[in-house]
Amino acid sequence: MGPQHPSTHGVLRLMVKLDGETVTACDPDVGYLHRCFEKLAEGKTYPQVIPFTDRTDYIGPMLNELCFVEATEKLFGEAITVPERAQYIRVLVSEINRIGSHLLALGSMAMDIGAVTPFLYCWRDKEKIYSLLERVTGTRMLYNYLRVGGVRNDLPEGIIGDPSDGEDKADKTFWGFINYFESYVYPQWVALVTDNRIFQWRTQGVGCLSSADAIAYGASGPVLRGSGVKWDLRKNLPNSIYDRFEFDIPVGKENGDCFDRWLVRQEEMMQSARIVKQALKWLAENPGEIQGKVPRILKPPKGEVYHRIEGARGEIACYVVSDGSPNPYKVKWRSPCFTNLQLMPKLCPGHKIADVVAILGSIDIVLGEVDR
Amino acid sequence: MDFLQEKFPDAQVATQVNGDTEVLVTKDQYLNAVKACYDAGYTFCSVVSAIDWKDRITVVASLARINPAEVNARTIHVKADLPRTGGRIPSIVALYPGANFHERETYDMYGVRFEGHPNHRRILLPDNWQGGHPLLKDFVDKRPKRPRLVRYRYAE
Amino acid sequence: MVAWWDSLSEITRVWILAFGKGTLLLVWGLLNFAIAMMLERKVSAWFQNRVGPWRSGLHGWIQAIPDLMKLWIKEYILPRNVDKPLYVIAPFIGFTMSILVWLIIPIGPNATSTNLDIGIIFIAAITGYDVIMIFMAGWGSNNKYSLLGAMRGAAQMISYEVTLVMSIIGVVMMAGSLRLSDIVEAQAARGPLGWYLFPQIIGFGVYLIASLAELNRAPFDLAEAESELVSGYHTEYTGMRWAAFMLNEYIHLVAWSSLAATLFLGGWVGPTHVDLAAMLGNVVNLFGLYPNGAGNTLLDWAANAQPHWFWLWLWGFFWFSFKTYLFVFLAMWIRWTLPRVRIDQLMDLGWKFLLPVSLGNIFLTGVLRFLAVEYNGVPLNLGFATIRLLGLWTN
Repeated sequence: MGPQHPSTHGVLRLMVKLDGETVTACDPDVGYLHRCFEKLAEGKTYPQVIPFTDRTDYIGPMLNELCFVEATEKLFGEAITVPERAQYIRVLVSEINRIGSHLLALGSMAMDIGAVTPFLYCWRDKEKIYSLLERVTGTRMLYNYLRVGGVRNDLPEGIIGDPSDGEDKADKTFWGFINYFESYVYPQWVALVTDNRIFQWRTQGVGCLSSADAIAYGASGPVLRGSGVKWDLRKNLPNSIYDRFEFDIPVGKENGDCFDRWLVRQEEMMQSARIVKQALKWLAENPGEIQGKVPRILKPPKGEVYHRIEGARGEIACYVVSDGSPNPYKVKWRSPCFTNLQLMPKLCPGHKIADVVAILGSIDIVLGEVDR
Repeated sequence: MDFLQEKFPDAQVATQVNGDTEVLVTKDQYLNAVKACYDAGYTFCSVVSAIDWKDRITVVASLARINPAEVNARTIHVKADLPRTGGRIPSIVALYPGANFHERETYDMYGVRFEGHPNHRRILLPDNWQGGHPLLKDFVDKRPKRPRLVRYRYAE
Repeated sequence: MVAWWDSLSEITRVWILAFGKGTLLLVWGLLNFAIAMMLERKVSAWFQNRVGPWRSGLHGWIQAIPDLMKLWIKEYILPRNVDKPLYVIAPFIGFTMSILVWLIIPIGPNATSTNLDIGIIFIAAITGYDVIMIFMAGWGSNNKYSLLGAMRGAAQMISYEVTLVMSIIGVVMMAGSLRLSDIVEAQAARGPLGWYLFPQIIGFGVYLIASLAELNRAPFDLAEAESELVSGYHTEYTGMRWAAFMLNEYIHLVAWSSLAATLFLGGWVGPTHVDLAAMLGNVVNLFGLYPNGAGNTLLDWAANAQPHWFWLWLWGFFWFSFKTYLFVFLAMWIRWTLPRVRIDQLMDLGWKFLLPVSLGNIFLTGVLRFLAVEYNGVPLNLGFATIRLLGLWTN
């Protein structure tokens, strides 16, 4: 199933060996979108690397920026403190990005299964997120918003809105969007796709992954949680201020199938909405600084750091090696989709072609991240 | 962390800025060190990568524990030094199937050969790419430069 | 004019009529294709929160014309390694067959192109050709995606043909004839709501599902599953040949919808302007409670009216089209809501569920008709019994 194919989410080549309609082997061939991110990063200064990190997972870019920015801040150690308001804003935009990313994951998986309409509904809602974040950061995607030590600019006037904002304000204020999401979008997804019997036929029993296998294969994110392992880096290895928020971690059953991973993503969206509401409440009441004191030219002291965060698709981590100069000596980007893709040769054999597409959709890859 | 210091007394154990442990072992002890971590519960291989210091290459395997009840469990980085060209190191795919793609990428980018890897091919670059290994510090891009478009200037 | 007609020999008359009918059928098929295609694009757009074609013509409703022109002037790419005879003939078989279905469908009172005695069997025979078409297209294309699509499509269509015909047999038993115009008249004879929809509700359900599967429409569009097989059996076709596949699909859609309308909803039977006047008169008279001048005039006019056959035919045609397009809309609604079924689930559904259900329907119909005829006037209404049984079963 070659690089150009309507449902490989980008340029992925899957070499699938078939016996009639049944798959006997499946081998992914990646590298079509390799843009030499790690080599480029070695020639740029630390702030210049941030837009590059956006472009790895271009569906939920803020989370990538968060990983790199926090890694750099760890290198500095005590020298840089990020003000509290900046931390809350970071959490806010990260969780909104997570909702958007999951919406797209659900939408494209539904489209691959055959229900085309939910994909367009996902875009209707993502457009609202894009409008909101455009007012905050200046661009619709690929924000380049987080900075070492804080964020680039404060939230514009009036974008937080009021907890009673309704659907008409969904693309004007954050509260409007969250209320619209919880009251309209989430029930619509449940009613239209999750409760649809044909969808359940297509995804239940397909791509079963045991929890031991999931851990052994390095799976993370909804793939790991869909197999029954209650592991979320926001709770188990909290970065920034995630330990101040109250949220649950949806988990699938032991032998998780595609439907479990779908449900995990769907429920995670609701939990992200919860986090966003708590962040909005705090932000509305606490003005403050949004950038800590950082030197003009960022030269972290010599050292290495490996920073892991919970991205939308799994564990995003970056191993930054600094040698005291303004350019990083090495940036290794551990992307979740690259690691999760190793599950394809394990999960596909024994299923039909239609299931290959369902499994790929449930692993939810974005090629920018796989190939960097 | 202490179990590593006990088992490999001549390894250099250090703590990174954010609390992770890094262990520098020799190439021959690499597989044993990784196995020791596996037995101690570090069953999740986060990434296998390499750092190119100009006189040597350091292979880094970052291993973690996945225990839902545990909070703030730090990662262990098992490092081994290799010569810059022709470095060979055992593969940990038998213990951590999730290291498969990462080791292929390290081979692709740095030229480090992993002995025992079931599918030892380039992953991000095409399989038959002749250009060396890009992430090495002395890598030179030898591909022919493509002619750039020049705007035609007519004589006035 | 009439003299000239009478002067011709029988054979010539037959041939001229045949050409005329053929042309009319072709035009009718293409017209329906245009309307159905536009409807599909607009309806799918409205479901998906967008507007569909907008700029060409009256808010996009004439998009079919520019599309047709584009397909006409498109380059015919003939891939080198295809099986030429199969590749070239396949699209046109399907197109021809879909037009042929329209031969026996009564469009209005006394308006059937060829009122065959064996109407239903004729349709069943024609659908067989669609299987051949799909397989020819898939095999001839020399492309792995096409072959997969063709295999799936052929298996699916063969399975559901049996079920489809079984679901119609209940209607045939109740009408006592295979001729479609007889079926419509039998429904008209049963009274205003004497449609076979009610007694044959099980058959209707099975027919709906089976016809969607026959038509290769979602949720059963595995043969051309866009997200898995690029385009299935018509991947390698461009230009007018691809247009022939599209024509086949949409004309078949309208044809099967009109069959549903004819068999289950009473075809062209519906209130004419005379009946409407009578109804209006009754309403104005408040059903006899307060007879007044206006109501009485209407009723008198309705009682004495002798409408010209053309107006009767037009009303029949209107009701027929209305019911047909109701089903077309239903098919589109289902397509854009439901995900696709997998091939083994599809086969399970067809053979293990729908076929036994339709056979059960035939059995039930037979038993009840036997009882009704034997015990002349036993208050055992087929529709009532079916619905009761359905209720018992689903509890």
